[in-house]
Amino acid sequence: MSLDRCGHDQVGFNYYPCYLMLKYSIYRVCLAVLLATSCFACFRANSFGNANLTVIRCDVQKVPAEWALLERHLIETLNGAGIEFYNTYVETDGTVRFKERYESGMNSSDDLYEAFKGFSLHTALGGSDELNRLHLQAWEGITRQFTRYGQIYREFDSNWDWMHHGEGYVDFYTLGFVQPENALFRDRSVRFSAMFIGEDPEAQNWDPELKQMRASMTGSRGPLMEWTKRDWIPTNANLVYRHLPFTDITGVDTTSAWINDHPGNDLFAKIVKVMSDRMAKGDIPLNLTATPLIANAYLYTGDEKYIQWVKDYISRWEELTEKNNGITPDNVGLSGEIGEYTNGNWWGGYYGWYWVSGGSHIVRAQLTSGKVATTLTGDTRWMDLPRSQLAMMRKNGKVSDGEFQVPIRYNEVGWHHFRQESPSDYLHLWFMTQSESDWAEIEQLIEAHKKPRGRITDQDLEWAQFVKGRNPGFAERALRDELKTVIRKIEFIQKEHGDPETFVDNKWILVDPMKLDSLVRLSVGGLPVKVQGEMLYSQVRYFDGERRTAGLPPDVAALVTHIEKDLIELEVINLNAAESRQLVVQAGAYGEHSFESVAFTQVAEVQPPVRDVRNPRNGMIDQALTEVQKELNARAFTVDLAPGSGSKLSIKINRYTSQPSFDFPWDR
Amino acid sequence: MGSLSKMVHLNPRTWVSILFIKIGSLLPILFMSTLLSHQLPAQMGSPGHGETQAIALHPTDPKIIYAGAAKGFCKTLEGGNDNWPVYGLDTFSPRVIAVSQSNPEIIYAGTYEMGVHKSINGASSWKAVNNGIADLRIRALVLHPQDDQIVFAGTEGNGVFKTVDGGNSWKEMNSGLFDKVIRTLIIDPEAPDTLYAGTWHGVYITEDRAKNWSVDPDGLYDVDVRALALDPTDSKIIYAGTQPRGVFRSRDGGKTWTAGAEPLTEHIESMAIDPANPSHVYVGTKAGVYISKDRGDHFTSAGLRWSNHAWCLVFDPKTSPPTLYYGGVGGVLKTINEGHWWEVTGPKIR
Repeated sequence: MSLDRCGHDQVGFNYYPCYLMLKYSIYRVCLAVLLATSCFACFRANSFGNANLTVIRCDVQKVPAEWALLERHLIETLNGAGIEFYNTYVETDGTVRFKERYESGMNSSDDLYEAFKGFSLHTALGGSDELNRLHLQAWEGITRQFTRYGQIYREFDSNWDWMHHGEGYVDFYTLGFVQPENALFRDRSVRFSAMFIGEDPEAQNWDPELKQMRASMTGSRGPLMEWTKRDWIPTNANLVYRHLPFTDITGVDTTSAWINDHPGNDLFAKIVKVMSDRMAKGDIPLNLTATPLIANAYLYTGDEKYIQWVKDYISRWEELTEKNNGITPDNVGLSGEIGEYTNGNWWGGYYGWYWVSGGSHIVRAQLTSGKVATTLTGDTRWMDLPRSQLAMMRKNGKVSDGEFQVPIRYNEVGWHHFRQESPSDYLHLWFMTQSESDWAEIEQLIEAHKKPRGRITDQDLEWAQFVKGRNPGFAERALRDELKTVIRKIEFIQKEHGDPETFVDNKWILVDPMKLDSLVRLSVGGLPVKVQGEMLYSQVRYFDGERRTAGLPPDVAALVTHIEKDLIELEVINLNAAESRQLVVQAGAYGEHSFESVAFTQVAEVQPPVRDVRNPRNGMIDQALTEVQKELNARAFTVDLAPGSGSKLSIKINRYTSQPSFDFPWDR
Repeated sequence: MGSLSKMVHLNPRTWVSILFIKIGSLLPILFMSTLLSHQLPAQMGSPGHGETQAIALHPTDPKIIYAGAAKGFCKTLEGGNDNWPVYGLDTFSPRVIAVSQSNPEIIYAGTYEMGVHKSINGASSWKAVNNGIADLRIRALVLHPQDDQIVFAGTEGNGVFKTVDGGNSWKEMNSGLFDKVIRTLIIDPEAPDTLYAGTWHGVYITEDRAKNWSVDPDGLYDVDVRALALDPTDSKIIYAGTQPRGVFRSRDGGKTWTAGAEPLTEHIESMAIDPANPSHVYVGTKAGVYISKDRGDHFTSAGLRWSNHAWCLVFDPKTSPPTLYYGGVGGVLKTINEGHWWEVTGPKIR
């Protein structure tokens, strides 16, 4: 028995059985067993001692709002889109219609997995269970297929960077939402994590002494200390467009060199050798993107060692940042020395400050790990590292053509490649901390974005404004746009008659119809699951109390309309006029928050005399309503939605009060 | 689409009744009318986003090049320095292209499983022309050099089909053709009644526009012939790229064949002869491009050893020196110095 982070007794003990045990000793043994069982059940069921979730009844009949109809229609359309995608591109055994023979080097499997990132997530949001089933089938198929190609080993990518591991495993992180009890994936999650926390003898990617990774390419075969041409085929064909930072290599231009390997002048080999010497060994900030994989294992198991690893690893990068005068170095050698393979420079590492995308990948990896650590520990200070780098970049910013820009790249000539600040980075900070100062940054960015364009065009900022009540109509616009995109994708898929031998690995990402950004933002108040290893973070998550499954129940629509640090507002509606629905609302994607109370509207018990006079506005008979407030103090509660009814729910929320988990609310 | 919000306000009873039906069935009609005209945005560049299986050249303008790629039928007007814009067939994987030499507006494209498509306006629009073709998996297409109404199509499993009316109707032309798996077709430009078919089991020859085919059991027989190429200066000299027995050469119009002194063991997919130096034979394989400077006896690497596919090699004789184009994993690449240096085509690099 232990206390949760609110200090509540997690057992919810009933003393009456103890009294019986004393009085009737003959039953002592039996009761002891019973007591132990019930204690365990209570422990598993609810941190506040309630095996049953509090139920509120919403019985006010509603005319469905446009957003609700659009949302349900989008859910249905996505159900069909996923099946269309699967039937077109996946064989009956779950393998993807692709090349018979494929020398993929390090690349490719990530794109195939990534193409399914919306399947289980959609089920978790309220889509069809079938999509999760198809996803599982495809996961097994792709794993077999790329094992045959030689890239996957022991069901995990042999070697690749965490940019691509991250992309590839975003789909893996969604599986626990739907089937937290799935032993196979629970086991995989533990096994895969073991490869990165030093518990897998065959994959010693982690240096437990220095608490850092041993290489920028890691995987089930361990750290890849030296790169060869073989590793970079066929990625090299795309690198001609990347202009990677090797302009100092004599006789090499960093574009066409990638494809020129004539025996008399093998530039491809030359560029890979130099790249390998500078970038293969030691740790890079991008590896922080491994933290969601470790968190995933925690969410299945609750084993504290995973939290400790995440804290250790981020702390290591904090330490290196401090040592480097506040700038996160982009490479650290096997001895722990910054710039060990880059002539002592803190820049020049793989996906580092001099890389094409510069600091944006460093900050994103730090945001990714910061969000993981915040969720696992409840301490928002883990967002300080990315915040510090954003501040550092801002400090080196300048005004260009009336627009404030920050540098994203650094090399011997100093800071360069100035760009407007990314709203998304700041949005993630605010989302996790809900602090006023982080929100103030968003406000500034909104104003900055308005200047040149007269309005905001960035979806993240549009949504941020919406949840502060300043962007009416956004929900409808966003859902409508998403629907259009999905329908276009379906249309494309239905015309598919391409030769799989000519497909390249990112084919399916381009075709993927599972566009869930609007559903995530609007229905659960979450951050869209992007690539590079993101997990889902949201204000709430829903379950079907009757079917006992994840996601919105059939016919139910939900919209998070307002977000504050201690309050969220959402609208829920049951569009089915004949049947009621049981909607379970959980605080946070992983139950990491708790609800204090909920205020909503109910039909008053005492009604005025019936007057068959319909409201001319909505065609319904006016009913007397009453405002109800209910104490919750729980991670979740149930909304009993009467047929055709709905309500606005104003929920007081306490953030990061509970241990996050994939377990369903009634199982905790 | 009528505004949904207006409908909510103007017709509330409609919505009450909707509560009793499945919402999902209502809205597609409202949306589809405005969406059907939309297409997915064209994918960027030729390299990447799919492999290139076919390249064809404009007869007079070296800047106009056609490519059959995973992203569709591509046509550049800038010698490949643009985005290789897609001109239709975007989901059909065009894998062979034939352009009329007398009227380059007429183009035929053979696709993976959707038959032959024809354009009469330089690829601005396409029409499927498959009446009579029993197998829509097209592997080879050749035009009669003097009459672009006559086209021969080789299929993956049903032999050769021929049209004499520009694709309006096709007839099966398999008399004597025992192997129906066609890998490649070429036509003798000096004697256009003569065609050669590379098949799964050898080289078949016709001298009467495909009415009758024959194969010499003592010639190149019982070997998978993946590619054929004619010497541009002497059409009696033919090269056959086989799997797995390397390159064969015939000096008598396919009657007898000689294997190279050191057979190339890589998996052959394509061939091309340098028009400026016909003793230089290029072979595209699953392990890059190879060159022979002695008419196929010995081969050395001409680069792209990383390439898993070299679907096609095409020489443009209009440039000086002639440009060799490669279609494969990296999209469309080109060289003018025997493969010592390959250049990417596609958009200018940022």
